[in-house]
Amino acid sequence: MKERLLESLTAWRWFIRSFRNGDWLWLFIAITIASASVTTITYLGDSIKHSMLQKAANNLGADLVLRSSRPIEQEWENQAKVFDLQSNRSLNLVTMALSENPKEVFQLINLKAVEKAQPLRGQITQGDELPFATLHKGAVWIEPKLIDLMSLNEHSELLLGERHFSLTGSVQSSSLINPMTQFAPQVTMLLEDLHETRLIGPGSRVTYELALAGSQKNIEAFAAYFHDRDPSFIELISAKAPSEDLEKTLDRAWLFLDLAALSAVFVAGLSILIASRFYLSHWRSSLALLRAFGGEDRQLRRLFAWQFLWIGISSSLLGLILGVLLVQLIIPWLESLFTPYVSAPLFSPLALGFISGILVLWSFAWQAFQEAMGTSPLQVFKSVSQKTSVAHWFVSFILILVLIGMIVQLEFLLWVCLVGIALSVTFYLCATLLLSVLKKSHAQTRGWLRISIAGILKQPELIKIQLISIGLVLFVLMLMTFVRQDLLNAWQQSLPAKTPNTFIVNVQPYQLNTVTSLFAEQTLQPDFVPMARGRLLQKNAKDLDPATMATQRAKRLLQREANIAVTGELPPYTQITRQLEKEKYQGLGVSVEEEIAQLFGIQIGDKLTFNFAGATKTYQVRSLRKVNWQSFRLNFFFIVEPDPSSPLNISYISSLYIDNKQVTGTLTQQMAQQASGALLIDVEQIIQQIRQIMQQAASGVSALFLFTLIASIAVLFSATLASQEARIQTWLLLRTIGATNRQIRLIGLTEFILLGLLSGILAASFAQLVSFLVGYQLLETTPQFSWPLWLGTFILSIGILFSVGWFSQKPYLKMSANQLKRHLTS
Amino acid sequence: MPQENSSSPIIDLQDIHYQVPNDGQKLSILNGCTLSVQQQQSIAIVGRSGSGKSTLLSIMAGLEKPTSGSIRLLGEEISRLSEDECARIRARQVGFVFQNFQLLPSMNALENILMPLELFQIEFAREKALDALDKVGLSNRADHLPSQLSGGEQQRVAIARAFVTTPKILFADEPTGNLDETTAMQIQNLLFDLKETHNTSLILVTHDMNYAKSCDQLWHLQHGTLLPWQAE
Repeated sequence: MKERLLESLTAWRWFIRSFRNGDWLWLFIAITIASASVTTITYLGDSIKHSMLQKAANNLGADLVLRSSRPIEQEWENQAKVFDLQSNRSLNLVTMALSENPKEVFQLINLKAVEKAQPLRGQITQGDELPFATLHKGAVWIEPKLIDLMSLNEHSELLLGERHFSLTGSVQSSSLINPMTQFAPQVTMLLEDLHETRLIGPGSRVTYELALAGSQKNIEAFAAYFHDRDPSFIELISAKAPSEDLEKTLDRAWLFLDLAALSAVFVAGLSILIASRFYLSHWRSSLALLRAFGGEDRQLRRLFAWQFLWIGISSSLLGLILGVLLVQLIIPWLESLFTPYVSAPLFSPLALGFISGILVLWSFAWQAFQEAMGTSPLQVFKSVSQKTSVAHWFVSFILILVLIGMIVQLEFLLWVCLVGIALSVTFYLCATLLLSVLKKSHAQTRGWLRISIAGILKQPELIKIQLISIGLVLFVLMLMTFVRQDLLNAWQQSLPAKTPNTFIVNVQPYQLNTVTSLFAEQTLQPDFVPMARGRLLQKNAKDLDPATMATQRAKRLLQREANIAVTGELPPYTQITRQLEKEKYQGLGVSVEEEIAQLFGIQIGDKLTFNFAGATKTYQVRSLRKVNWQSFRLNFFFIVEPDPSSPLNISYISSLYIDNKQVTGTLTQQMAQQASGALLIDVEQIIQQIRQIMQQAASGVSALFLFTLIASIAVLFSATLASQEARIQTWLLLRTIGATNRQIRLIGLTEFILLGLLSGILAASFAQLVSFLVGYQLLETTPQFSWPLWLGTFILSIGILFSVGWFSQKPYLKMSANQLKRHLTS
Repeated sequence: MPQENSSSPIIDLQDIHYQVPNDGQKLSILNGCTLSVQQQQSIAIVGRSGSGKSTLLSIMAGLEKPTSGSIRLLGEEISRLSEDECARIRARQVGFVFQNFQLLPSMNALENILMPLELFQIEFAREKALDALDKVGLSNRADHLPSQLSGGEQQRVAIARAFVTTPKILFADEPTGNLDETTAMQIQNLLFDLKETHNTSLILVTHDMNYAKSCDQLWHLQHGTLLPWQAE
């Protein structure tokens, strides 16, 4: 034990001595970058996630909501207590409200009856239209827009069912979560008042909710408990995935955060790989010497491993300090981006940063470590060639796997690994090919260009590693540029400037002309789509039983009626993914949304039977469609062909963009008077909330991108310095044969530019290729060729390499031949 | 470990052969070398470049295995031992001096000397290293890196490092090969002085006949065979 302790101290002394004199420096910097990057990015990512979750939770008013069309059993509330969660019961129903003062007005409203007036998460947003007071028995809060719609004032009362309520304030509803219940303005009352209204009776369409809030750990435990029980009639809504549309947006943002952290570690890993090759000859000399002195293999292995450990610990700790400092710098900026900003705990990013620092060192320097350990003592007399064992590559690979597994979600581990292996092999082959092309062209060149190319060809293996590393770093940068751009474009496209913000629903056929002319008076021309309410019953004459469905979503969809478009023409923005040949058409046709088809295993040509208010009809699946649910256009799971022989009971629906709030108000009032039952629904607020979340995600993504860019440039700098020794040797030779500074600079810079060009070719082509894969497989976006980015890769790679060349050559150009020689021997 | 007695040779080579593969053939480097070195004796081996002097030295030190033949180093037959077993025999009993000094560039003079002492956790390492540095006349250069020392100074540091563990045998491979004549002479004297002080056996490989003639025995490696030197 004492001996081991002494060994570790000896290793520490050796490490400090060599470090003081410049050895290990690049390795130290690379580990520090890795550790600082992981700490900062993990913290950034966690804080962004926490802030976005908080935002979503504030909109939801809770961390989790259980929702059901039946009363939620007391058992769930009891269980919430077991998990130390706060709860708040509520109930929603759409009903009519009557105001008699100052005039008699009926209005469809969404009545929300709550156990506690204050939401569990976030705050209610008070309006200043009415004097505000706490919600109490016999009083209601109303949504501000109801004041205009019903011409209300502070003395007005609302008749809800059989009871009158006074108004005690206007409160903006949080409508992100369940837009369908928000089609009507919201009126909030206490749950204890509901009974006296006698609004709830058999057949009432009521939604029961149990809102829950607590620590993240307890919430996750409760969610797991819920999923284990899998109750048929209760839906679990989490702030993490408040709606399917937002879930995708957030998932993509979080995936990008993972990719950013992975890229930073990967970039630092490459830097370690290069630095370890750079120091390998030093390690070999000292190990050969120690072996010649009589050092035993195990003893030397321990001493060397201790040194690795010391450098890992010290540089990781410095990385953590840097990471924390960076975090402190970033926090004010994050606070300006996110409202509310929730700072994540630092412990987990610090732990991950530290472990990553150690792991990234062992993963990427393992080869060099093993090669050094295999050094023959004979090397003190003569150079001995060594081959790296395949087993060492395997260990390195496993360590890298562990590292990746720590950073990305496990489901992507295999994907990331396969791409990583394929890329490394392909990069190696391409680098070999590019060098052989360069070798062939060498004979045709003259003067300084010939010397520059000779400089590159002098150490082909080192140059290959450099090319691969620089190419990979540039590739990672370009990939992130492409993916980020695709992501931002996809988000922007999903909610463009004139996204429909108004829905018109429940327009009966006899009201169509009236409603159309009301809109025409406001110079608006909505396209109405006929639709019917229906439920999917059978597939190929076999019943689809909700109880046998694997997912909650499938169960829910079979239990509910859906809006089904009844039209022979698909909307112009439809994206057909599969289509049945015309010769196979039989009977009536239906077009099915792709994800629904996947959920129920529906194939082209299948026969689907629906129930439309008691009438059953069967349709043949003619096409599958991709639908962008975030678009706020009219989208349907099913579009069925009209049956002239037995028409369905249809109503009309439309969506359009109205930029004037006053027009929306006027149309709402006019429709209430002239087309009773038809509704105008304003979803502007929901769109704004989604836009805000996407904006925040985009800011987070850009911040991480910037950080990775800075780390990458530092690595590129270290990568080019790995072959500096060979370069100085050439310069020394050139100087002794009388070359001028200008000639030497030209030769050196040309070498750097050639390196930049070759790496640029590798990087740009692979970035484009992989961005396609990432886009299609992970982010579900449609990547496009981006020539400016191709050009950008070349400019970036040549620019960086040129600058590195310029700055790294400068001090040596001032040296005399003798000084250069001394520098080499040191 | 069997200990050698005062009369038994410290190194005993019997019919050493060494071959390396070369284009599918076997190239003979050593063809039956036989040599016996007594304690405190100095032996010089001369020969043309590429004659196999360094290979013979590495075989004697147990750094390389012969194709056939027997080697007893410090009384132990090492030709069949593993690398670690050979290392255990070398530990603290064998010193090396090389033509290109083999100093670690990132460690200063004192730290280079400290290295073998620290490897074996020897007590009072720093004092011993400073003493060794003093003996080679470089006590004022302890903090200097190899790049800040002249060739002669670097070789002095290497000699101090070789003697600091008070080895029984010192293997020196062309120790003056990279030095000018005056410096070479100083290094040569230093090496012999220290050898005498420490009662060390010296196996010297050199091109320098004057230097070689200072040794107790002079051998010529020719066509892979060791022959006693005969003045032409």
